[in-house]
Amino acid sequence: MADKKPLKISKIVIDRDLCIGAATCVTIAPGTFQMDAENKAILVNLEGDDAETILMGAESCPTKAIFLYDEDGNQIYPR
Amino acid sequence: MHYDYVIIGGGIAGATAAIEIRNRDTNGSIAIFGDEPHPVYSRVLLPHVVRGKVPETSAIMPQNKALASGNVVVFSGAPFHVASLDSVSHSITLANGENHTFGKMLIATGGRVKPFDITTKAGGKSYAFQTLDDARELRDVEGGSAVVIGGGFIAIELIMSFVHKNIPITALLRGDQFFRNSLDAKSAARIAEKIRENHVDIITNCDPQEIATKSEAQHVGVGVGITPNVEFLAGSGIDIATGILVNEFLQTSSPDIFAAGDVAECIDPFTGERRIIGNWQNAIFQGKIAGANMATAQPQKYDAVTTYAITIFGLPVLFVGAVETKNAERTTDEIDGAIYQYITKEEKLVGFTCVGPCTKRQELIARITSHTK
Repeated sequence: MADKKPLKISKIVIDRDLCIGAATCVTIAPGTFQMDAENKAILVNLEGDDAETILMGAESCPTKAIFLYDEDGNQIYPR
Repeated sequence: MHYDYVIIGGGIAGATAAIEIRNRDTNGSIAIFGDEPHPVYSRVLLPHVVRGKVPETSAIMPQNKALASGNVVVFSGAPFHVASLDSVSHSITLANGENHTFGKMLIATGGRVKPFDITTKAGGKSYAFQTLDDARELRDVEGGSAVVIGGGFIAIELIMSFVHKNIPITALLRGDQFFRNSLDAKSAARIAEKIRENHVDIITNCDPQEIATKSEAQHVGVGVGITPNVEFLAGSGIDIATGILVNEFLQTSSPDIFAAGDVAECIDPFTGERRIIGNWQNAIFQGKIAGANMATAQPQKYDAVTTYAITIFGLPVLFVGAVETKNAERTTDEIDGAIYQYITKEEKLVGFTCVGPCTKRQELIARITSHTK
């Protein structure tokens, strides 16, 4: 709550090997994530939801398969 | 001690609710009481831990940080087990004898593996696969042979974990197929074929307990289902069937007390029938809605279509919506190498399953959501 710097996500990586298809990311951030035919999450639009929603989608992933990076290439989540 | 909000249960549904409450009420006091002596962790990740794909620390969820920064007080471990609840006086008694009162409450106590303690002829012991402690035990299993009892998700995760460890397995099913409450015979046969390809023997229509007890196996994997943790509610005044009965706002028969996740017996928004929905996505969803409804005057309805997916030795398997509903019409179809089962009630799609690559997921979910009951 103390850190109010606006969140900016410049890259999203999904680890298909970790993803088990729980689809929580899709329910929370449907503009950003969708499921493919193999029940794996895929990125459909880097700016499909606001950054806070995308972070919430990543944090809800039960296998921590979604990696978020800022514009300097630093990993924002998980960390 | 008095808390404005008390959450019973230290899992993801309770943590999600606490965060949602804090987003809407910055000052109210919130306490979580959980039985397990661990921070909030992902049960869904545990198969990855057992198979050595990720370290155990990966299972610890980021929601713990949000609970800490939101001044949510978390009590976890056996002394903080909630032994009884009085819905009239809004009070709880803990195993350690402490009494606390609350303004609003969420019950998110989940379920536990049905007791099934078996020792084989060879002295082999039984393993469940639900908690972090179960995963630690399974991770250390080596050598010998195994039998696995059950035909659902937990049993299949156990089978895959033993295969990963190159341990020969016999799968024991009481019924004639895997997922007998939700899958058609053709879909189940495809799954059995995939499991057999991985050198697993499958015995159907058997008495698994008898076979396991007489077997020479060193390990017994037990995946025979989950029982909701509701015993502490005896005499509480809260209505219970199999789980805790909740309305569309996830409210129990006592208006200030809500229930969410694997313990809540909710009304399926598409069939109108009561059901317990035991998956991660639902726990998060219901946690969010219950938390919001506890902290605001404008209640939200639970109206989600939740999914459960598993990849069985590379074969994608998907369950969506009310797949276990009775008195529904079930038809199957094969499209692009995948077997679809459509579950319809009063000519409306209420759920489907797909074994194989599912290209129609979004289209079918949209069909379900287009007609909320």
